[in-house]
Amino acid sequence: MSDIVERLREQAELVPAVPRAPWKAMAEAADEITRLRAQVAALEGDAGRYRWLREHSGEFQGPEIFVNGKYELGSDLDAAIDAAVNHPPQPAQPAPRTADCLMCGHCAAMSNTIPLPPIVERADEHYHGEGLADAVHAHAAAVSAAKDARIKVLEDALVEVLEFQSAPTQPTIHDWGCWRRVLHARAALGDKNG
Amino acid sequence: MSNTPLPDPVAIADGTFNCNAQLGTELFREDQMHAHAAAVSADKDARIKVLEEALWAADLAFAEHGILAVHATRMQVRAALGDKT
Repeated sequence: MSDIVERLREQAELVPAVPRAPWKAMAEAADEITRLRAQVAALEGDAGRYRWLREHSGEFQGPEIFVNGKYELGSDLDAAIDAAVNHPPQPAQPAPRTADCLMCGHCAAMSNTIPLPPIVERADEHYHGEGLADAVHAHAAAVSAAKDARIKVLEDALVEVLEFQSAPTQPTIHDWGCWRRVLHARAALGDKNG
Repeated sequence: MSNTPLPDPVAIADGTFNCNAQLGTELFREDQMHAHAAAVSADKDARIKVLEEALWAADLAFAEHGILAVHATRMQVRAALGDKT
């Protein structure tokens, strides 16, 4: 038995001189079936590629699929994609950024003097640019190291104070010498102690 | 230098994915690491605040009441330094 499209066209060609007859609809149906077959073939290609991704995700050196920033494996992928399609993420609102915080406003209360990495300044809306993770990590490490240094200075200053406090209660020249060191330690407070 | 605990890893690298990570490496999401960095930073801010307040107290006592009054802040200074004293 020949293909349905061929049979429809053969039937339609039997009476080509009769316009607007059922034969014309048969020719149109053959064209529509041909178009739909091409469309299905294209969709099957896409579907096959998706099934391959779903089946091979999580395998060694296989594809890694993230939906809305969350790593998804095969069995959960359908639901994750459906959820993302039905509830697309809202555009991120620009959050106030401090020197401590590159991506959100959660640390707005904190402060430090470490400048932001240049890559963030160049690409405010492209947080996932190449090398950004390294830049953010380096920035966090620099902030942390600066705070460690600040803590060390303050602890050293307070040890000086404690040594002074351990001196005899009656002020002596020795006490004043100790207090001079305390005065030096005041510099650790910067302009906050001015 | 931080006592802030790491977040629970989302996975342990076992060779099935993330081939850049060594086997056994704890894997975290970016938002987890960001939250951890923020928590560490906040802890250090709090520590700095305690130390600064102790130093201010000693300095203020000296400025207002003279050298003997500095001894009154000894407990606060010891507390700020924790077991390091």
